[in-house]
Amino acid sequence: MGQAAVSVVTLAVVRAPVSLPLTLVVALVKGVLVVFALATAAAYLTLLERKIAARIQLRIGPNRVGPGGLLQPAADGVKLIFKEKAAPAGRDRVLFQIAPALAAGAALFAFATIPINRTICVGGHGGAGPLSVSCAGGYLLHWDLANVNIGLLYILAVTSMGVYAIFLGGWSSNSKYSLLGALRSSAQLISYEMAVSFAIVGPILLAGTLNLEQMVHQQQGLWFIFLQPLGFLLYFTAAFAETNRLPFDLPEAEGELGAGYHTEFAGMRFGLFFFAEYINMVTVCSIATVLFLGGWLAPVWFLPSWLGPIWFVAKAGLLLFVMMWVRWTFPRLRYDRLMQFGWKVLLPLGLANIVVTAVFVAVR
Amino acid sequence: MSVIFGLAAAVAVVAALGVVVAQRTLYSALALVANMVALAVLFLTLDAQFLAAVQIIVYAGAVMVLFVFIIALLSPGAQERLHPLEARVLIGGLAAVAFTVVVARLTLNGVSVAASGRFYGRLGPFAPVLVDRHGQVQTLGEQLFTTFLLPFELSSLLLLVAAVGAVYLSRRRRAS
Amino acid sequence: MTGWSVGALPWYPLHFVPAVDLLSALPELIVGAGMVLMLIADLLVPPSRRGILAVGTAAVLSAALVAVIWQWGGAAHAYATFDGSFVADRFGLFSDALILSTAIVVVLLSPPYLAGRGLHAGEYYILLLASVVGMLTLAGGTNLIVIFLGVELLSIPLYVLAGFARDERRSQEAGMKYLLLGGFASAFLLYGMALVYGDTGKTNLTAIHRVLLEAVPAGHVSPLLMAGIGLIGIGLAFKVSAAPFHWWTPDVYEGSPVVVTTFMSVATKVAAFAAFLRLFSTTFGSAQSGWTVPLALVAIASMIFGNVVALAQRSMKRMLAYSGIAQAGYILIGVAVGQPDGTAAALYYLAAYTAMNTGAFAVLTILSSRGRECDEYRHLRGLGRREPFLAGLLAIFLLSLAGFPLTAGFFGKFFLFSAAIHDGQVPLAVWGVVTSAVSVFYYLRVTLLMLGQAGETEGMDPGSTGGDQLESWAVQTGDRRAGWTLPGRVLVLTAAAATLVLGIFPTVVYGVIQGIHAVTG
Repeated sequence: MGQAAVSVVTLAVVRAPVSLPLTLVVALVKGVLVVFALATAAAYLTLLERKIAARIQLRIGPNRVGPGGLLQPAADGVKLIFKEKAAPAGRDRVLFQIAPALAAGAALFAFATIPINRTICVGGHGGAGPLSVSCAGGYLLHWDLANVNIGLLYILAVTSMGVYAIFLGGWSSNSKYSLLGALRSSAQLISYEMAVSFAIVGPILLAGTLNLEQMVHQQQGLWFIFLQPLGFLLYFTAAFAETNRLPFDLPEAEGELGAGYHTEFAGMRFGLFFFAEYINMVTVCSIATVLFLGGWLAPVWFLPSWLGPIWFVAKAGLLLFVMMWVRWTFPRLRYDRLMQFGWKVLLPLGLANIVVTAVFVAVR
Repeated sequence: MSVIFGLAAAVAVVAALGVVVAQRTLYSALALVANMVALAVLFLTLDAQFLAAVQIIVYAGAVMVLFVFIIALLSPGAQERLHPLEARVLIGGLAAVAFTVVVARLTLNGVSVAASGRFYGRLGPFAPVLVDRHGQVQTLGEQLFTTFLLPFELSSLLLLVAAVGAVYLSRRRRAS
Repeated sequence: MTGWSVGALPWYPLHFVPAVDLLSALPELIVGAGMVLMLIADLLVPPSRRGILAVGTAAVLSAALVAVIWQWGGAAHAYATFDGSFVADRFGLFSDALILSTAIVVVLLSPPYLAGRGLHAGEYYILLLASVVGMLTLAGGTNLIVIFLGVELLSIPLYVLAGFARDERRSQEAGMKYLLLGGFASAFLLYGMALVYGDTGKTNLTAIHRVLLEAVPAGHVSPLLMAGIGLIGIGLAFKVSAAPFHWWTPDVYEGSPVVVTTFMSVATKVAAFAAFLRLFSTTFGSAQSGWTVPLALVAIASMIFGNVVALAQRSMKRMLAYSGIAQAGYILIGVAVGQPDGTAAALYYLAAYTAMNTGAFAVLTILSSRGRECDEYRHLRGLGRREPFLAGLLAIFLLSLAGFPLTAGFFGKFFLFSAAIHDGQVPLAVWGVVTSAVSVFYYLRVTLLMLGQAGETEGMDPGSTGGDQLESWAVQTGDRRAGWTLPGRVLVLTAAAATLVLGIFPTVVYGVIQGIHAVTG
């Protein structure tokens, strides 16, 4: 999976003024690193989630495996791998196999264009700033897998593939709970994709580019969250629905649907769906960080700017914490309310936000 | 680069064949999705990044999702198997060959292969110089709001009225 | 704030002003804006007062018509805009005027009819206005992309309007058939355009014209280009319902609400023929030797098929549908003959067709506004005694469709046939005359029927309903005032006056359009 991701995203790097083998090696290394980082993050987010849930519910949470429960994710992983791969009779054998892989694949692919630091020049003179890239005699190191013109569109494209995983997973299970969950989930994803697309138009208008690294550069001095507070709220709200999180986790409303589209999946097949959900959380929080929170930029001017990746992780981590906090605080919405909220509240607000932003950009 | 091209092209061809020969309709639709994703990768190898993204968002992400929905929910049974020498198959095959010839002819007519191996249209507004200078999205946006302003606005009107019509036809009868 | 200053960015803020002269597209803009206004008004107007929407829509269309007349003066030298993809020349403006007049008539006749059938929804006006925008665009489009979008914008609202009586199976059938066959036609059109673009590398009509001008004398016209032209012709022939691409027409005309049929049969044909003339007579004009013969065959097939099959009809809408196929054949003579006589004659016939066909359908609409569709021949029996005035008007329109002297249809056919003879295409003129003679039968038959007694059954509907039911229809429709509104009266009289003026003083209009030339932008 990771290999394939790398081979696709290397394309955009090929035009760099460096010999092809070096570029390829760097891309492979970055790809492997990103996949491992995401996998680890997803694993430990499950632990974090349980810890936070426990704190909110005045419990202690998992603390038996390893010091303070730190090895709990490893134990869970081993458990999932060795579990019986129970599967329903009458399933569609091919799609039942493919769906979990598709879910995890789409989640991993989406991260490819997110820059976690400014482009730097290794072993040469120069560097990268807004619109200026120079690197005499050295190697230009991008801190994303693919520094492409259309980074944001790429993410939208890849995440829209996630719908197939969910729908096919639910459909191929040959179970009514799964099918209902899949239907709900697909409808929800498609509806809230609109809200997400509308919300991100604000930063695009302000930055005048779809290149994520350039968007961060444009926020030097003033993060877009201060210019786009509504845009940020809209994006972050819709992100809950896009990741199927409470209060929008209707697809797997356990009271009515078992576990929704992945009810019938067991063992590592279930694990992949689970994994995909947490990676998607990381992705949406990273996008929010890049679009609204100034990406790798230091939060306060006197803090060192060379700690870019640290600032990035800190901001994304803060958003991830908020997502978990919300999950254990708010009740679930009713399904029709969810759809109404998406189409009749988020969408018009997003549209208004675009109009106001466009006027602002035009008269500026 | 050529490795990626070969892989994507192979996937595209196999997927396209899959659309035709698959026994279950849903598999045909999914093969079409795979075909479109492979085409998007081909666009990437041609430095048409915007086109690649839009190809996936519009076709694979929106149109085909609807196809898959409808097929899966109406769940048609397996299709009848066609004999390879049946008239329909032969005519279809001939049409496919003719189509390929026409497209190849048009492609060679409209496109010249630059020395670098990248394909460029012989036409003006998307000349590589401009695209490299302004970026793909910017060039496209500029074209859309100058040269193609009228088609652009007409399309938006078309989508609006299509939505109005669809709402009218599917709306429940009012109580009155 | 300094960090994100605009100046350094590689983007285009507002200094890219497109080369657009919005005034030249004023009618389209008025109707488009009117459509959005109606969309909002539909939310605010209570259902019982939807008549306001009809008045508003008619006002929008009238404003556009005024704009067209205003543009006429300045359009002696046509000027292109939107980077050469749209032109406001007199050819297009004349078509615009016909389309807008038809739309105004339809809109003003609609409220009583729609209310009578329980169909009075605001979407009707929105869809109609959108379709008009498409037609106006089609009449002035000088770019293949714009022409295609015009066809789609014209058609998609009409698919819905054809199925507007969504609880009636015949209307559903009409909508569905129109959608499927219309989509088929669009595919032909688009594939043809793709081939033309693929061969010439241009979508602009001027540029394509120039390519053809160079290629034809040198004998370098590629078969792909000719195939493209042929496919475009087929796509447009679907839209003007010429044989053998007419199969959808009778069922769709019959199933649609009669106001929609009126609009569809007249305005669509005018717009599609405007595009037909602009594309074939002007743009592809230099390749005429390649497409005249097939086009003439289509014209002859339409004239024969439409007129012969119309003889066997028992329904007014179906009869007028087949008659419409035949009329499309006549107008195609003008396309086949080409510039300049053919174009002028075709435009004249389109004007006559607008007056007489709109008039005939308007009378049917008024008769149908009494709660029940007045469509079958037997419904018209004895109309001359019950309502001599309406019957007399309908007779004028039908006689004009047949081409009787002193009516618009006579000079319409006269100009077309003489243009064909001047151009040396005598067979076209001969077939035109012969089939016109055939058509007299079915038009006169309806006219005579109206003079007969209500309740007589001779010669009609063998084995079908008897006199009692016919009487009861007449009784049911006792409220003669319904539908016979002031606007209705004015409009039908105007249509009749136009039919007679075009038939008695042909030079009034022919003098205006004689020199008109469809430019390519």
